[in-house]
Amino acid sequence: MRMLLILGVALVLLGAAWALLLAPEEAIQGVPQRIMYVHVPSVVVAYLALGVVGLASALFLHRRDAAWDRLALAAAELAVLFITLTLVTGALWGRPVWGVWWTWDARLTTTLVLWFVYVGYLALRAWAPGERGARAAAVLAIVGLLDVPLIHWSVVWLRTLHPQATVLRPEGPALPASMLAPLVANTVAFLVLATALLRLRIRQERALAAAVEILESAG
Amino acid sequence: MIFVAAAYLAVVVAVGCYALTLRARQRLIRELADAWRPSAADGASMPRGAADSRRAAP
Repeated sequence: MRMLLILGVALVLLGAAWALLLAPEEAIQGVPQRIMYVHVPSVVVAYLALGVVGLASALFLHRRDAAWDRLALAAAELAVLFITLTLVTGALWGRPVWGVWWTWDARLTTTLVLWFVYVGYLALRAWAPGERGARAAAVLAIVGLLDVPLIHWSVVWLRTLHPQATVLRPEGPALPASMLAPLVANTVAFLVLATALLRLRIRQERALAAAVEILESAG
Repeated sequence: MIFVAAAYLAVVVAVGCYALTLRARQRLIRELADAWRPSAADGASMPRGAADSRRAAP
């Protein structure tokens, strides 16, 4: 498990070197466009983590197996971490390009709503431990996922300052290969790092459950 | 350039803080588990300190 973490950190460092030193500079935006190499991977990891949260929550509600609940909680923490990074790196990209740190644009606003929903999920887990809290949180996690398609399609349905998708679009990526390759490499690096953190977190929850069981059996 | 540096710094700080939190939590769980590990001598579960004091009693 430690090896996966080291591999993830190494890949992120290599990806950063590729993005900052080797990838070509964008003609209009210039240097700030390089923020894309951390902004987009953060979004991808956050979306995948949310997928895991939703699936694990549904399976927990269906089977009542605590292992699925532990997976949902671990993935939710990662989702919040990477949504936060998405918002922060987006603001840092927006300031030099749009001239503002934040605007109440449809995509930005729906992403902020998503962040609040899953911070709420973590707060619920902290304040309402036990089976009932876990079930309520699982329902919240599934309902919160409804915001994801809104975020994705907001740039298509509404006039927004945020640009439309340049990678995940029906016509194929709009980026040149010299930018797409480092973007994919950075996304893979972020995914490896996030997987290592997820596995660590699940192992902790399992150890905690075992410790609590010992405590309860001791009276 | 400052915005790009700040974005990378944000990634390092966020992931680094989360990793440190995981490490601290891991240490707490280990201490908790060690303190309440079932005693091999009598099979009962009790705090390590309590087990030691009982053995020392006449």
